[in-house]
Amino acid sequence: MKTLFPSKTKDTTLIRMLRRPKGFIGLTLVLSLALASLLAPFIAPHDPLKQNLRWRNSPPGSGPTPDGKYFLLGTDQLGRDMLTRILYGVRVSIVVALAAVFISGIVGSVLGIVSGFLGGIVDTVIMRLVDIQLSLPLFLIAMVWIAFTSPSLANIVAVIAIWTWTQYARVARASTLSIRNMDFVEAARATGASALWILFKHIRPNVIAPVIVIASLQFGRAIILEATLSFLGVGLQPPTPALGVMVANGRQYIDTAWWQATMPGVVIMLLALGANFLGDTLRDVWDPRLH
Amino acid sequence: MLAYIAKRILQALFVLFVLTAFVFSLLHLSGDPTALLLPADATPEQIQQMREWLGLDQPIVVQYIRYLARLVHGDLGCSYRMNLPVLVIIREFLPNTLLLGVFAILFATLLSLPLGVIAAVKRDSPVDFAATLIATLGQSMPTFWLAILLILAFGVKLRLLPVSGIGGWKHFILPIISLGWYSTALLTRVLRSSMLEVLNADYVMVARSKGLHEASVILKHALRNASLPVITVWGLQLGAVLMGSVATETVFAWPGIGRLTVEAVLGRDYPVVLGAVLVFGTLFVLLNTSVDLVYCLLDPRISYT
Amino acid sequence: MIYRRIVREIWVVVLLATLFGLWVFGQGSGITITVVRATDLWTADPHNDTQVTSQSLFHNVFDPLVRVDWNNPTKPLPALAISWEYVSDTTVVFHLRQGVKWHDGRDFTSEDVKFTFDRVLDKDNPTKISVWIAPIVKRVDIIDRYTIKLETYRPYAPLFGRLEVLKIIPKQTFLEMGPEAFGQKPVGTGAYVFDEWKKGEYIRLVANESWWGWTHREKRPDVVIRKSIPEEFTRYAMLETGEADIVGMIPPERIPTIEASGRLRIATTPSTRGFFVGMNTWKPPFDDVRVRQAMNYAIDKQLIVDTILLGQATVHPGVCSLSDAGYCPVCMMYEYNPDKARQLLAEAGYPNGFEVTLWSPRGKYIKDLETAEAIAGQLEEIGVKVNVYAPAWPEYWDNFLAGNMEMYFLSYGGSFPDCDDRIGGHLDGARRGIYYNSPYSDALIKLEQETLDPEKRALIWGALGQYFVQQAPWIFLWDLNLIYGLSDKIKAWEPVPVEHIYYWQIEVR
Repeated sequence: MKTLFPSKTKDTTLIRMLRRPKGFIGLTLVLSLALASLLAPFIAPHDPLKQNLRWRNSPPGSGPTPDGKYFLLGTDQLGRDMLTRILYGVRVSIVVALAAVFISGIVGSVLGIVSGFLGGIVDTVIMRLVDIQLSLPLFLIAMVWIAFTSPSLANIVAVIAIWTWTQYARVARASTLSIRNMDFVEAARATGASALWILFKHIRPNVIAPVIVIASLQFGRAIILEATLSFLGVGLQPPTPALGVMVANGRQYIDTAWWQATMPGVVIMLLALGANFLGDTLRDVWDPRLH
Repeated sequence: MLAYIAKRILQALFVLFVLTAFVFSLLHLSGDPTALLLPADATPEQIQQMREWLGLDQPIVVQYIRYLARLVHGDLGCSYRMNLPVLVIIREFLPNTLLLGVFAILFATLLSLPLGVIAAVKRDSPVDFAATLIATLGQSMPTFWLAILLILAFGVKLRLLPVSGIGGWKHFILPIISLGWYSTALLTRVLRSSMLEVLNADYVMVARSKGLHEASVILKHALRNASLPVITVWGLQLGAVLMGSVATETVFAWPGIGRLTVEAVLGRDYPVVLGAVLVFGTLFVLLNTSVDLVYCLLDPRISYT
Repeated sequence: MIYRRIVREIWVVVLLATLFGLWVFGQGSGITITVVRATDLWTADPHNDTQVTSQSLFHNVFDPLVRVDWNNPTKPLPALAISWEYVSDTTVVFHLRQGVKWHDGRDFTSEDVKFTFDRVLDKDNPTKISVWIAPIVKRVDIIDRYTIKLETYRPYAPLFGRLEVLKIIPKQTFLEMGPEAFGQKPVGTGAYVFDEWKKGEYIRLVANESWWGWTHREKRPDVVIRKSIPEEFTRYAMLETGEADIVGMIPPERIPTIEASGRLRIATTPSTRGFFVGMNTWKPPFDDVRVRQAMNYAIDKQLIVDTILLGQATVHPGVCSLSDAGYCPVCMMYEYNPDKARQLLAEAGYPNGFEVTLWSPRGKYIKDLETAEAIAGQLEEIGVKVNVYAPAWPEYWDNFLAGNMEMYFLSYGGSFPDCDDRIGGHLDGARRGIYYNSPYSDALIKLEQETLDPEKRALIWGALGQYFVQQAPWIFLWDLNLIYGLSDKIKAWEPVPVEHIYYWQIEVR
């Protein structure tokens, strides 16, 4: 079967990515952070929820406690170990961002494919929805939604997901449209192949590529959004260690206990940077003309 | 063409209507502001009395119809906290946000143009890498965090710039940087990738082979064609900047609509929130419609569907 | 010859004139200070903005009948009323200050006082502060141009404290301007004239030279610029950049930084802002008094004060603030005893503890969320699993009023030092006792309100205070100090134990 892109296996893509400096860096950053967060329960020196009030706001390298432990990256406002909380925090932030990106990616691309494939009324309605979303002051609505319902994990993921589904829809639709009219698809139709089969076999592979590119770019945005929601007071609940929560809570100590906001902030930057680099490289690798 | 514009305007009105209905229901279904306006030790009877006086005990449909009726006459209602017409309040705060937003976009545009072009022209060089790194960093930082860092550096440590409110030109500097930083980063990257695409195109090769000066090739031919996708993004950024103003205005205590709305949401001052949503919504619709129109005008290949 | 003489004369005159001009300028240029608070004014109508920072502003633009004398809290300070006497348990005659002028030049008379009370007591058009006055004051009548008679529904001991909250407005001017315009450019009798209000930016107040209450007028600021800055770090930064002279709501960890800076310094004072953890006494597990007492034994209050609040708070027993009338110095304090806590829990049938949700405000009070988390952490040590929930304020307050909370961290603060004010919204069945009330304490509360004799009242409060301690409807915590940052423009200033800043008390020369 012919597709827009020469068929590649994942391995080839991977190698092509690794050859580019951006791809290498991006992949390294994201993978190492993800790995560290996965291993958190094993490598974290402390309990992320354990308070040590007497060690509150201690600088990096403080210690030893009576049990002989050190706080390598210092402690936060309640004496909890920063290193541990960052390791666990990466987990939470990745989960939130991934969930949001996943949901919006799937919903968005499905809607986009449907819109492109079926055309007609369905297409118009869905595209109007996209337009409506663009005209909405999303931040306001998000704030209103969370402030007035409740700041639960589900709500926050939902809000972040709603932010970004339109991008996927547009791109998926564009890809679908360009494929739909190609000869081989017409041929397949002529031989009586079902729509679903066409969708699955031909359209899906070509939509996945741009969607993944966008997803990696949105990943960084999702993490930052979580931080901003915490700043506005409608973020994740304590004592959940999440990078955004830590930056928002630590910002007032920036001149007295700088490590509390700076360290999670740096990790956010690294995660977002890595994801962005990944996305850029994927886009370069798969097709420079892809937008 | 006219039919297209008319259609878009109608769509816009529909959008705004749906928007107000949605936000209105959300606001009213989740609680009422009376208890927040009264002292903390008000008894339930006192709260109920004030609630009736404010008309908040009516069924939500009645309240919505009343709101719409007033809206049609251009009356956005009265703020519960400030006891002033919402329109008056918005008139005081909106210009400050628009001012800040315009300057921020200008800053972003002026900075991203050279950065994006140079990064594309000298692709994969250290310059490109540095520019991309800076740009991506700009997109990897929450705005409030950047704002606080700026205050710490330029206000507290260096004592160079004022850190709060609106005043002379010096008061604009830090908020503009904070607000425009993300857009700068985004525009730089988009311009870079757009330029890269164009620089490899045939007509550029033709221009070069004609012996034209390199700078002229870049600026006159490449840039002009590269700017098309950038303009769409640029238009979207206007909206993003308006939204980003929430964090910047709160940290710098800028007297703008972002800060006003946050305080209204946290104080359940519904008329103000609805008014702000309407204003923002209208602005966005206008913006998006204009950007689309400009795009259509610039690129004759696109038809009006 | 003559020519030279004339020229010399002219030079002398010019020199003298310049010196004189410089002298006049040196004298006339007033001192302007900038006061920064955390919350903005809603409206300048003093009866329709209940925020404590707004009430603080109103004290400077308006005057009430009496004020609180923080050096001697049981004796009210004369303000617009210079003397008063009880003619019966429920009637007080006030003699008003004569010769006071409104900012627009009109005379202040008893007409204004009656108008003010009538407005606030109007059942058909309630103002937002009617809540504080209407349940107590029945009516106010004019006796003559400078005398009024005030009648309460029943004998009410904290009357004068309450009256401090009501700022007197000018009848004629208010009627002419209408409430909306008055709320933008008010006219009062106070020490400072409300000159200009640029929304969201600043409020400009100018000293009222003909105010009746100046002491050392020459030392006081001539112009005050009031700003509201929501972000704490920005408030502090403004001190460093010189954009602010007095900044409120400074958190304790800023104290070393500010004091280390040569130009700046800190002013602190104990205050009536107290904190506690309330429990829902109608439902298990907190319906058992042993469990509630166990909670009190489980918290190491001094540790939290020392570590999170850096010593800027005072632990106290019972429900009252330290400066309150009704404070019970001999009431028992629950010492930190986790073993006793566990024992009590076991006795009550919870040997393995239980799970509970602790609601907390977020960013509304200094260190509120941190303190709640610390408390949760300490409760975990005795086997109580605590889930902290800190939504935005509207959601918190809605659920508080609806009685949905099991456990909640909250603050009370009042503008006058009377313990009745602390418990009114929390423990009094007659007013609002959502999570606790009892017939016994209700009866005692009614009694203390109606006992005008301070000594008898103190006895009643002793019994009431002790009862509350034993019943433990709250985890009793502490009073927080108010912390302000000052620039070197402020030569001397003593803050008062409430979040009011009286500009006429600030010394700048």
